[in-house]
Amino acid sequence: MIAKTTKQRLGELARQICIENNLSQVYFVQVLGSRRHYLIGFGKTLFSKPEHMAVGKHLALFWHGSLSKSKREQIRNIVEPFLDALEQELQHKSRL
Amino acid sequence: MIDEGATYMLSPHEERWRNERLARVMKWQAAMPYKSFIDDRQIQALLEDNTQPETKETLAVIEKARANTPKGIMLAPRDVAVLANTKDPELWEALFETADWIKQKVYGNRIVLFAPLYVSSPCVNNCAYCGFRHGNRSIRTRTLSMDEIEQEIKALVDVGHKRLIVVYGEHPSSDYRYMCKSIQKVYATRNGTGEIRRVNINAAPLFTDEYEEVHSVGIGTYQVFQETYHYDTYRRVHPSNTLKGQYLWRLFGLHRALEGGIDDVAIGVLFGLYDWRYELLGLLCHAMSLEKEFGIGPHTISYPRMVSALSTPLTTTSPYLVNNKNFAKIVAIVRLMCPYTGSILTARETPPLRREIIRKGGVSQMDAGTRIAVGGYAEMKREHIPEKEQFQITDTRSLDDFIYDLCENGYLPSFCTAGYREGRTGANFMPLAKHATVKNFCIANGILTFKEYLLDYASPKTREIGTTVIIPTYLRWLNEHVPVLASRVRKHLKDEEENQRDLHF
Repeated sequence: MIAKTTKQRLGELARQICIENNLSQVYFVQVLGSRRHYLIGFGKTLFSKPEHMAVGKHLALFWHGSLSKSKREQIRNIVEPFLDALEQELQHKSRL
Repeated sequence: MIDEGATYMLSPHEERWRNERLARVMKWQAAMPYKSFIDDRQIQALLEDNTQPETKETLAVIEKARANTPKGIMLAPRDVAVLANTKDPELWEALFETADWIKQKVYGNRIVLFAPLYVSSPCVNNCAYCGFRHGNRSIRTRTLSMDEIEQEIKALVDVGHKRLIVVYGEHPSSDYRYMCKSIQKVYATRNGTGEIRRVNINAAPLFTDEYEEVHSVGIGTYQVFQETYHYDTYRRVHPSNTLKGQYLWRLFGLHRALEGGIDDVAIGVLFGLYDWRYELLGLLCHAMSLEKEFGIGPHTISYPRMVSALSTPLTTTSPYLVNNKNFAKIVAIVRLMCPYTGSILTARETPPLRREIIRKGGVSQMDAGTRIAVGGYAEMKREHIPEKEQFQITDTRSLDDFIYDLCENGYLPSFCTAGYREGRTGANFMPLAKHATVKNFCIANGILTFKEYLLDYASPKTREIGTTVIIPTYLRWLNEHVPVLASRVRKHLKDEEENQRDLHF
């Protein structure tokens, strides 16, 4: 589970990425085995297969719309400053 | 009704585990942050105040259910009381028709298929209706080893299954650690191109930190059935000194799951323990509480009907056993009261009744090729192994026979598992179901997964009807409603013929 404030910040990021890149929908997910667990997002689906990229060890970004390679790199740079804190929250402290 | 005496003997290890856990459960109940959402008096009053609804009242509720569907709004408790007390057969026909309409509107004409996998039967509880209760000496209990789970999975994927509900007893041998290990084993097992792509769970309620662990291995949905929402009945069938005897612990089991990060949760009732009308209102109150607290309603609702179990007399003597007529009403009311939820009809019911209720009740998910004995799939040819089963199922058809039947009746059999792998979970899934647009994904992914089945597993007759009737029919639907998606599906169908697999949207 991630903190509410972190989630809010992620939500703002999703909104920013979505609007600035003219995308239909952008959302962050937590990677849990096969599950891509929705955290927060912005916009609406296009009813097609969303594209995605890993933005951290446990975090991925999904989007509906078109993003060039250079734009993807820019997005990584936008997300990066938040990654350390976020990954710590997502890091599962497994007791198994 | 309950057996708290001589036959209920736990081993010292089981007793210690149970007692330690029970102490923690009692502590949680004493400090729980929720107030019970089951108001016994209010539910009884609603049912009594609406025993003879007028025709216009029932028609108004049916109309309301239709209007609610594209908004994802549930009926109010009074509405459900009105429907449950409706007696006019003509009105019931209107209600069945509406249930089917809602299902088509939200999910399209597809049926998602899954198999239940019972991996453990030892249980520290002693529930009066359960074949796996600790005091039932007629049952040979066992917990599958990882190798045995692998054998079960190979047998399941060999016939084409892609989705499971894995079922666990409440016992130290099948605690959350075992759950995590067994789920990981299921996902890791392959047989050629066969694999399980979604694992849902049916198990006892856990503590929040335990849910977090189970969540971390990538499950689909977590099911906890209250069995009965009626306090007195709950007390009568669950001994007070057992884990399951703790009503509130169970009632808020899925609230804790959501606190633990699991955002696809499923509710259910064992119909036959108490008045089915009361239980429907209990389900509605549960769904409303989840919505209120977390903004996420039940991913699915199940309505298993109590059926005969070995050395378990209550299963045949309960005064509340539900007949077929009322069972059809239950399923249809579930669809009207909570239009966005998945609705699960199981192999407890006979093939003719299942055939009838799919449409009358607006069912969206069904198990098929089912074996419920622990280790039962490895012995697939034996339809029943009573001494290893929690109860007895009546639809023992093979997966292929079941699928052929669905095709003959015009349904699209689906093994879709795309949603939770594309981030359409919890708050991202709910708007799709609530705005009745999820069917666009459902039909596209249904076509692709059914095509995989036809290529890899189907009998000649199923392949024939699937290829010549079902897939063209649903491609036409897609073409009319989501043309962009239709052209992509057509391309993927060709890719599948060239041996590409697991193509989805």
